[in-house]
Amino acid sequence: MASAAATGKTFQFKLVLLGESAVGKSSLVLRFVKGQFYEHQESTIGAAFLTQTINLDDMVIKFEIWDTAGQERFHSLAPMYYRGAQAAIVVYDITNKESFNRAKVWIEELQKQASPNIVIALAGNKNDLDTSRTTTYEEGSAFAEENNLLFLETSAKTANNVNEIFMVIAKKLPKVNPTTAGPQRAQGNVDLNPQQNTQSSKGCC
Amino acid sequence: MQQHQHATTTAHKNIDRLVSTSEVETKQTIAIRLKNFLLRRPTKESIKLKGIYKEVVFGSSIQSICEREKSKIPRFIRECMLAVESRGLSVDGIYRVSGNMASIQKLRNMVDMNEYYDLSDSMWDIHTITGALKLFFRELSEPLFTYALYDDFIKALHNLNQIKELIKKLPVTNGKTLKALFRHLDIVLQHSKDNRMQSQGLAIVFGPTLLWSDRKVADANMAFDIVQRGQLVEFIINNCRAIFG
Repeated sequence: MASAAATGKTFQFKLVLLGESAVGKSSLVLRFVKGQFYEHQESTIGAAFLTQTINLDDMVIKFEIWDTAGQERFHSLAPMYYRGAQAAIVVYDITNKESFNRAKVWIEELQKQASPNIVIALAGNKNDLDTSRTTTYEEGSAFAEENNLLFLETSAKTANNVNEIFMVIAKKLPKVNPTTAGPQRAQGNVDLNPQQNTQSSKGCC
Repeated sequence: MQQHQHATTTAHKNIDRLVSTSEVETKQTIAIRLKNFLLRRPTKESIKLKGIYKEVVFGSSIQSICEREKSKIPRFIRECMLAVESRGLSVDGIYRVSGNMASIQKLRNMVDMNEYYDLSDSMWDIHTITGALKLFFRELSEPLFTYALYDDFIKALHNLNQIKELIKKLPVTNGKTLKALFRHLDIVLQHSKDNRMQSQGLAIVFGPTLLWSDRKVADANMAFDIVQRGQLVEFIINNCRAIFG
């Protein structure tokens, strides 16, 4: 995919994390962005916004990450965050069957409501807790295959597969319209809500 | 109500079709009788007025539940708190982790239908119970902190005496329920070594569940609003003993 024209260019993508409460969405982001892990990660309010840049071949990929809150009360806000996103990571906890079921529902919703070209990755998080696993690797991978999703089991705690999941997403994302200097809006989509996307400063939405 | 009427009209149309296609006389009379019966059915609104149909527990108000139960604190809340105190205090992420939505709805229906339920039964997962309790508060026709005092409570943030005074202004049943709930959360907090729920975490979960305004809030302000609600709940949790004695 890395055509000669794309060499040395920066691409910016909006990525959203979805999943049930306490599956480790914020922990995955924190691990990816800051390389840290907190045993006592707090619940997210509304959503949190972070960015991280990675190098892929000769390209620079900048992720604008929207980490959403899993609490039921915030579910109605989710469309605000996945609207216009080019990538999504739907997270479940391999020790919590319910969170896997909920992940399936999120994927269904994304396939119906999000941008048609969205790249979706399914992450079975907490794979360091293999002894209390309730969802097998095969179940996760079979579901991902049926639905044409990227799939990895991850652990924010041990950092297993965390950078990798962002990397496979970066590889799969179509590289069109490189970003020029300065803050830019998400590329490759018709932006129906420009006023929401302009507040791309750091911190809670 | 509109949905109800719509359903009646659809039934009406279907029966008309049935009547027109039916050739056997007996069938026709049955259809006509059924049609007449359905048309005689009172609307949801009229039976609500007569007190036959009620929004029993979920979707009702604290005051009306207590009035009907002749209690000070709705029975369902007491039972949920009791279940958590007996087998949920050391569960990791209690109140934060979501329960199975189907089980929560099942429990909700049983409660609304006034069916017998036993929350100490292991068929009810502890996260189903906490999920149902959170749902109960979200579905109230008016939030626990009431609409009338919403602004005053937000303004009183971090002011112990003002908050104490405001709680006294709440309807008696809301005040008693509030006290019981925060005492319960204080007990949950005392086990935070096991359940990893600190007052901030509990506040994020309960803030938007216990307080909301009846004014339409712009999306952009919503996050800020939610932060403030969380801060108020956190303050009350942290000062539980000073506020409620």
